[in-house]
Amino acid sequence: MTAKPRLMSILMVWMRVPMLVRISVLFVLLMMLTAIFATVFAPYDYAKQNLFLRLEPPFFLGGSMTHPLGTDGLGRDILSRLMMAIRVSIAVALVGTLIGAVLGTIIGFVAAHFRGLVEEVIMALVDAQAALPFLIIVLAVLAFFGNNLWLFIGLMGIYGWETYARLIRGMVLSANTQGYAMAARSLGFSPLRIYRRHVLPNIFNVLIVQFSLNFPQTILLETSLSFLGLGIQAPLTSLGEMLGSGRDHLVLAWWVAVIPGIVIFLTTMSISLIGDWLRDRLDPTLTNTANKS
Amino acid sequence: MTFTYALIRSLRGALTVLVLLSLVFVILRLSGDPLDALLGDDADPELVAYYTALYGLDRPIWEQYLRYFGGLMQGDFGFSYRDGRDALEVVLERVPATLQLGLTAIAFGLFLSIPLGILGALYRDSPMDRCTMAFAVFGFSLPNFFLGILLILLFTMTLQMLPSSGSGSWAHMVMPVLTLGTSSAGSIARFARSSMLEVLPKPYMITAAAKGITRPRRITWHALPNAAIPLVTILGFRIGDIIAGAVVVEAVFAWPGVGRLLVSSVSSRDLAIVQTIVILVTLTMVLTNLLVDLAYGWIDPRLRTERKGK
Amino acid sequence: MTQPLVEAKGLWRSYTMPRKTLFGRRTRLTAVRDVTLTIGPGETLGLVGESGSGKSTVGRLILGLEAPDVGEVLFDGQPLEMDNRRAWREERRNKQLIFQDPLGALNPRHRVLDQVAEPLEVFGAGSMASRRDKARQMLRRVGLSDSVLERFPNALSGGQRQRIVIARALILRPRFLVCDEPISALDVSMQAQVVRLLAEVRDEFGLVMLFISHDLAVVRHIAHKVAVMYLGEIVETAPVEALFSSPAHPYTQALISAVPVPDPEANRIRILLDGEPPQRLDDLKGCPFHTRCPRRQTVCAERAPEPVIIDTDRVVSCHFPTLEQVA
Repeated sequence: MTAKPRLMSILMVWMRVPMLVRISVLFVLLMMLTAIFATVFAPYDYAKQNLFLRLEPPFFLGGSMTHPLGTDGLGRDILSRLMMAIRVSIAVALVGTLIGAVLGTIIGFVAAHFRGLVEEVIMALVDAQAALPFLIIVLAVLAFFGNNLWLFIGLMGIYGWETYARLIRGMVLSANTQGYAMAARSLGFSPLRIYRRHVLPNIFNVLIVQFSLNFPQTILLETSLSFLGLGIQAPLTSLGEMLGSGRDHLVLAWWVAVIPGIVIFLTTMSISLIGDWLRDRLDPTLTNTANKS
Repeated sequence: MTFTYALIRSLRGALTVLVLLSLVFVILRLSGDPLDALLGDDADPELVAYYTALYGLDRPIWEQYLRYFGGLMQGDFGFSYRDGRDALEVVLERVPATLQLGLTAIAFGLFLSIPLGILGALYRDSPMDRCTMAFAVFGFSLPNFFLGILLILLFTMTLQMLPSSGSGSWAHMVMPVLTLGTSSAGSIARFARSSMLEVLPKPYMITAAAKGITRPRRITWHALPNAAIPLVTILGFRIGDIIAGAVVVEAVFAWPGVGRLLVSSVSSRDLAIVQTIVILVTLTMVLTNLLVDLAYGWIDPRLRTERKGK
Repeated sequence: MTQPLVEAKGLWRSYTMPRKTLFGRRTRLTAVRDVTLTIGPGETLGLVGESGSGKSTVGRLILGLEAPDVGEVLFDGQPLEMDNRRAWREERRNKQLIFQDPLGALNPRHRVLDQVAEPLEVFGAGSMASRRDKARQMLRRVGLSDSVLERFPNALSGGQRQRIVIARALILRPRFLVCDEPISALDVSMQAQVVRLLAEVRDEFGLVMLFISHDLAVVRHIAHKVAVMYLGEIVETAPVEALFSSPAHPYTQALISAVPVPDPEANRIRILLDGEPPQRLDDLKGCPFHTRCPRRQTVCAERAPEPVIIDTDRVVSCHFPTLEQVA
């Protein structure tokens, strides 16, 4: 296939995507670009304070264009901080979700392959994690170990694993007892080859859908914890941390809190909308006919 | 056979509690010397020796493990190191406030979401339905702490109608309940809608229509009871969301419940309090899920007869 | 007598059912009981019986995809390798399986040519180009045009898919092929073609075949010998023509009387079975068929019949076998 027809077919697919999902895709792309180029495009250093210019309003509320989105309680440029916060929040959620997906997928395969005691132990852990709200687990671990960035990212990674493990185990079990995986086994293929070349590609869609449903939840978890002052800590910033520190200035400068809040809201909503659309398109088994709107 | 079923479920629940409590024990031991947290880093060696003996920290690990469970059984959850009081006592006195908030929020959430979901399903693809779906997406995507702040901006700052923090009067409850209820209402509305949509085209609904039963009666007597069955399980899951949400919402509105206690205890590393809260939440969750499971078996006549048949 | 290629001796296989109650005993369900059969060089054995009679389990046991609880399977005089995974996989070259559901047996995400070439890659035969070339020839051999090579299984018909499965099974040049209900998922119009194809490749590649089916008419067409299974046991074994002309076991007679014949006016006796198969086979005393047998006597409920040889290559497990013409 040459490049031109492929470009055309991508365009064709794009035209069939609902408007709302298209806008969501564009918004998520914008967020990704902001995350990547945060330090390049930011007009100021995100941590630079200017105590003479505190709580300046953004330009649409009578402020000047020197600080387009105004300044916060320590006179730091909100636009620059916002870009950095987007980078941190997206990076933490992305790495966390990836860790969870990879970990959960491997554990799911292990459970389905070895069965027996291994499977029982894994499923008991899955049940145990599902039995507690994860926010509580994170808070407990942070209390016991103290906060540090890598532990925090690791915790975000543990967040989703149990969903993937449960999902993958079920699908591998059903593939093993019937169908192409069973056929591949009877042809004498090795288990690793069967899982990598045959089962994994076939359940990849389900993984992608689960990933897109998991990602916004991880963003919400990170921002909630950072908002409580127990996640990402100053001097580093995240969308939740910005919102949390902006809370002190609600009376004088509501925008300090509302601007990052809107970004969180739009980001999670966009990814969820994309995820729902992907689920309808890619994964007929998960599709609840009723969920199509 | 309902008894055996209940027994199996209870044992599974007990196993889950056991696994979680063991994890708490492991984390507790991994996180360093528990005496450091209790006495500070440079404590008097005599004091350290005294407490080591008192808590049995010089014993082998399995004995410590058994003692830990023995202590929990007797209600010994340790002491809050901030005020030296019994940890269980400190936590329990916060429980009523959280229950008040949580239960009201669940009631409000159901009151809001169930009719929305049903209406959305009945008038599928209508503007009503779009409202339901939009509400569901909003409920999921709008972080509860942000919703709380928006409500404070509206009701406290602009309209000056409601107090932004504290407790004591019904006015204090309005915003926390609105915040907590709305965030879980979104997914319940969506689920109610889809389980209703699943029921509506079933043959027994068509039969009911063919028999000449009026639409309102068809919906209340034939559709709703069947649509409610899967809804019960989802409510079990939502309890976890409500508990997690309560932690954040209590922090936003300075509501004097368990959630706020948890956040402040984590900040000050008051481990006994954190451990007590984790154990109580675990018990609550396992018990609720157990009740939901049993209710499920009781509500769904198919499961009832199936078990009787065996 | 020449040595048979495949020999199964006294195979038993049972499955553990989940507990019904917490303290209830785990019940075991015996799928295959004391099955003995041999397939000689160049021979095709038809294995018939109703669904749930344990035919497919026998197929998997003989292939070594599952281990029997009791008994052993000899292939070319050698016991099947079950413990060494590498040697087990190596042995797959010799024994292949054709599935009932060809769509399920094919990977929906791999192109036809790649699927057929993959076994060669796994067993490290030749270069990529030569492997693809061999696969292409094999696909032509089973009657597929080159236009399907780059397509995915979903885009093909049931008959085409089954041909792909056959090509993939034959690409390693196995000596033994188990066909497990190979046509029951196909359209009626396709069934005859696929059966003919299987007979053709069998002769061309000199395959020994175990043909599992519930359809006696098809088995009659392809098999040399037939074994009839009922509730996990083989009740009768006979050369195909002998079985159809003079079935000895009452169950075989009932099955044969139900096969449609071209002439509806033909004078024949339909044997209709009454009664139900027993629910709990493991508690059953006597002959497994006695609850439905039209010829049952008191002894049938008390003692299980031993297999008796009634003619060359003919074995039947019945207290009162008949040798009279039925239809």
